[in-house]
Amino acid sequence: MSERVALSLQVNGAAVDRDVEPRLTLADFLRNALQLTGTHLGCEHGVCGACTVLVDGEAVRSCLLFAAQAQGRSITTIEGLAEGADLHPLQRALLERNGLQCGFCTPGVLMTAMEFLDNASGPTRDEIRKALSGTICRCTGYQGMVDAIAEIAGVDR
Amino acid sequence: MKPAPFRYFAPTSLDECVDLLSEHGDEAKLLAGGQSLVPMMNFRLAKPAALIDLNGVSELAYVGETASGGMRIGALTRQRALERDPELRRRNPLLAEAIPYIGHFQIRNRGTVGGSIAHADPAAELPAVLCALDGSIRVQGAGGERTIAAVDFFQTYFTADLGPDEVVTEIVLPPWHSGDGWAVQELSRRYGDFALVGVACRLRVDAEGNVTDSAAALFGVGGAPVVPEAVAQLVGTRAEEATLAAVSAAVAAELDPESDVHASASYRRHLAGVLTRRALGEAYARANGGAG
Amino acid sequence: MTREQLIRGEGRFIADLPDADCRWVAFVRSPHAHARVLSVLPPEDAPDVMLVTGRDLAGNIQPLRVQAPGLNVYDWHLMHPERALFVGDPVAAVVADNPYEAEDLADAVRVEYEPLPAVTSLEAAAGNETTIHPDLSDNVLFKFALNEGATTEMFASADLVVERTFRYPRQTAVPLECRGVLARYDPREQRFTVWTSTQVPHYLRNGLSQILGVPEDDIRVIRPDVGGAFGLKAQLFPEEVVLPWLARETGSALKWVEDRRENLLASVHAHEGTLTLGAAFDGDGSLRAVRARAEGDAGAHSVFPFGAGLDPFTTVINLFGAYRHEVSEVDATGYATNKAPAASYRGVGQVLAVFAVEQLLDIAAGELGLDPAEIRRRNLLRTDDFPHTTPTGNAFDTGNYQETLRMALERADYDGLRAEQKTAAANGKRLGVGVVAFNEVTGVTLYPGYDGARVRIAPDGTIQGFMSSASSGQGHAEVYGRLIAEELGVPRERVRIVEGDTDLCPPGSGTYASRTAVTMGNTLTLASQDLRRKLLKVAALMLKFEGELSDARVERELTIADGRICLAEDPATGVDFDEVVQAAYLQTLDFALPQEIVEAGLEVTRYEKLPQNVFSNTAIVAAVDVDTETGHFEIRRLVMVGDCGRILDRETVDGQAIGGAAMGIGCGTLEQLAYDGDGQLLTASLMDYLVPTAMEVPPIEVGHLETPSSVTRNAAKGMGESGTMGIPAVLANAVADALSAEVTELPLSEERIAGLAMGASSL
Repeated sequence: MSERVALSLQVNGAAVDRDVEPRLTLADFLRNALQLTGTHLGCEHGVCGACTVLVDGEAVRSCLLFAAQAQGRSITTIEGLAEGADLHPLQRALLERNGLQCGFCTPGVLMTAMEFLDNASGPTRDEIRKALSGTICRCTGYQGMVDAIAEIAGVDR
Repeated sequence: MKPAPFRYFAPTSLDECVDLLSEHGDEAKLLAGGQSLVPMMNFRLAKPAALIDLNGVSELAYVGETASGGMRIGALTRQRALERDPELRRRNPLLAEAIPYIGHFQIRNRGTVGGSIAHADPAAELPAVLCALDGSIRVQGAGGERTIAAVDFFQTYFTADLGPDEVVTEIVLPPWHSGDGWAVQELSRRYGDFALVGVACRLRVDAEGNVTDSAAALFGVGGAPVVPEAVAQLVGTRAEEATLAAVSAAVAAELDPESDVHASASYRRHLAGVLTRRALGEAYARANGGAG
Repeated sequence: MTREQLIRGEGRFIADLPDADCRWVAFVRSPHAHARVLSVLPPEDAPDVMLVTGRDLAGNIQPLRVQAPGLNVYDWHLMHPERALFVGDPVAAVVADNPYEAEDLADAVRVEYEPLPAVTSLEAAAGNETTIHPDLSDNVLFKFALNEGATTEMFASADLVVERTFRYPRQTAVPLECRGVLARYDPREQRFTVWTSTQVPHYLRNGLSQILGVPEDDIRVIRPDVGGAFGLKAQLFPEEVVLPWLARETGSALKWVEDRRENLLASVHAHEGTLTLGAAFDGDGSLRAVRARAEGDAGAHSVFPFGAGLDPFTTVINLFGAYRHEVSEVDATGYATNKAPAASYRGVGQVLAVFAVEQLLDIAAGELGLDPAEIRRRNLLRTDDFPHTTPTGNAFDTGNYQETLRMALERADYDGLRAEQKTAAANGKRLGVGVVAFNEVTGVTLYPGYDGARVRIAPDGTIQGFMSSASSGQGHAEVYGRLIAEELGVPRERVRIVEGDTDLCPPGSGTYASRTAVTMGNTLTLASQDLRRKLLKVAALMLKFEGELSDARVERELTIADGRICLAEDPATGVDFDEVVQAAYLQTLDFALPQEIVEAGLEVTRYEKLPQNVFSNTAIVAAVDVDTETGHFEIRRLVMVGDCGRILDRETVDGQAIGGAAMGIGCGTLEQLAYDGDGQLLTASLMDYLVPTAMEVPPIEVGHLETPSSVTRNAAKGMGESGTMGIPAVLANAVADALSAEVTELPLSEERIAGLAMGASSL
């Protein structure tokens, strides 16, 4: 229908080149073109945060960004978090702290927390809750997530 | 919830952007942070035939100073960049206090100052803050450049004094008078939501503690930010409790909010009075040497 | 998927299933609450699009007739041939190559409607000026009444009668993953395979079989990973019928993934209802009699399988269940309206029951000059009341409700909170304290109420458990796997759990009504124990036991631990687990195994249905600080003590308690679906239908008591909904306490609270 855009970007450290329709969202590009289905779509209007990925290190809703806008950017998705068999410490902490149930919001929570932890020093539990408030979880009541992030931030207990 | 098709343009200069706008006019939408526009496109409430992506127009992303010592903020400046600016609290503490109320940090990572202004959501913080600060908005179109006072720019729901071929380029804030007090008070159903009602205000006092200047703007109480006349009644007082109560009641009486699914008009008016009283009190305390 | 896979983003949710060969379906949905569909035409610029309408379907599939006690039965057309009954009701489906184009086409389909008057309130439904289902004489979809004893006389002679009308808002579960269906039809096998995000694979197969008119064996339903359900995915939906049917018609694999707008508009809603509740007390605060009338807004349909009585019926049979009383007179009605159908959402019916009962108790306590904790202590069932049957017929096996309440009060430092309340009041602050105590029906034995488990040991010694349940993210597999491993004395890693595949798993109810621990867990225990005894018998033969090998004898004389089966009295003498398995499969022994052992194999399938529902119980204490001017409140303390019998897995129980409580905070304070008078949904986005974020959920303190069930084999009682049903009530009580007001309607919005604080007329 509309002309396509030649797109070059980095995804989880690898160069990717594809032609995309301008209206394709970054989320659908990751999920459908690259089969990176760990990025989930929970609302497609920027509220739930399940689709959060890092764009040049910043947590962003990938349902509200067109793939074409990621030209030249570096994207990190949930698939880029663990190093092979080794989970990222935050993934490990979330597992150990009962910070997930169904796992649908989990990728968005992790990517959100990644940026938060990069910038936070000695956050309070309230600051952690604020940081999480843009990602909705219906299963856990958030407590295990807050515990896990507090642990990684070194402010546990 | 997939957007309808559109033609995509990614200009890299303001001139190119203005040319594209005059070419496509009404058919086109400007895409800045996309945090309001793209949800509407995903719901197909907006189906622009062309999308002009401003994100490559890097000349619009800056925080600078005016000749008189005020602030100039480029339209493409991310809200998050302002939030992280260590100088902002000194240069304009009211703006600094308002920014974290905008959505969540992921939203502010993309959301831009100009986008929020152009979108003219009457429940948004930035338009009201601009009004309370006596700020102005610079726009550019095929016909040239204009500067519009914020109080005149916002007209009604999602409608601003902005032609279809114009783009917001910059907001301008007068210099912050050091010693002024300020406050932002808002109530939202959840943390990070648009406020049911909010108020931004600024006060100046003399050495005796008398108010010499006061300004406020309310949001979520009508189609555009409301700058209430009654706030001027504070001038010459020491913002005593009874005065604050009387002034905020007078402010509330000026308002004509609407009802929606989240709150009735009468509750909004009531809440506006409460929040105005609290905000003015807080601003006065800060101006008068309190916590600031 | 394991939790580790989920945390790596390797879950396989419905939208993630491979779909390279799939075409995409989008639905055309009614913009009218009630309308005649006059014509449906393809898009002008795509006249050849694959378009299916309700009329196309009508001649090819059967309407569903949802039957259960109390239901008025009518023909439910999954896509109505002539009418649309609510905004979002599907009237047609289109097929395209990708989801973007499918939505383009659906937008461009031309439908001509003739709007009809819409029924959008209980009052309008009861007035019957417009009736929604022509098969029925009025808008009543469900009716139930019960009068157990001399209620009228008791109310007439009571020292105190308190009666109020309570309203509970329309809500919906908002699982973070919306629904979705992928359907394939194999023309050679003449078989459907339907992947769908569901809690009830076997019900679904049953419903599909009726509607499509094919034997159940020709349908395989598979549930992929499910991203939350909370009751919403426990019914059959039109899309689950249209996709397989279209897959057969078009010869293509088809996929549809619900978007959030569709989910809010047109999946299912729940909870909305009105309850007029009266209670008669003696002067000392003893509850004597209860009477109640509940009216539920069932929306457009009586949904398969549970029907339109779900919320109102569950409300009235559970009123004051945790409290002693002698008689009860209740009735419940489910009305049809032109709204999305109502079905299940965590806390079914009991959200309203607990809210109303607990607020009514506080009102009565106020009238009698009793402390809210005291009126509960005087009326809660005592240990010597068990076993106990309520006037509405609920049977409770065991319980220690008084102790649960005591623990909650102690942990929250109830007396300390009351003292703080006085100090706060002296400083012009409003601190409110709420207390609630209630029980929770779990493992519902209706429709059909049984579960099935098949456990088998493969020749290589790995163990597979096939379950009729269908986890939607509760972490079943981990618990099942551990239970089986413990029973068979092998490491947990050896056990693989399969759920949610109707070809592989034995039939059963699925997962809803907090049934997993009690019914599935029970059945699983039966099957594992049987299998264990088989192994023990083979081992006994290998160890040259003489004489008869009874179950009791092998259990007594042999033990399984650490991969070995040994003599109980001489652990050095034994055989390896794997050797026993090899022997049973390959018969490599120097003697022949008896026919009874061969015949049994190393595979057991068992089914079980509990003789009665099982009730866990909970007490919650909350303290809130209310800003009387704005109506905003902050939760200062939230303490929940639950008794779900023996705890099978502490982490799962805590997760359910806290997660359920977070949902209760949503139900009590934020969640409300609002329709306007024309039947337009005003809350069709997550900007308007508000669910709690991490900032709305304070730290929740959870405590446990373990009073074993005498009904279940594993001594567990179900749990998982107590937070959702109890938190709205405890917050309502706390806010009412802070304001010395009555709260009879939820949610506790700032506006409602500010209104209560100032006297309702001020706003």
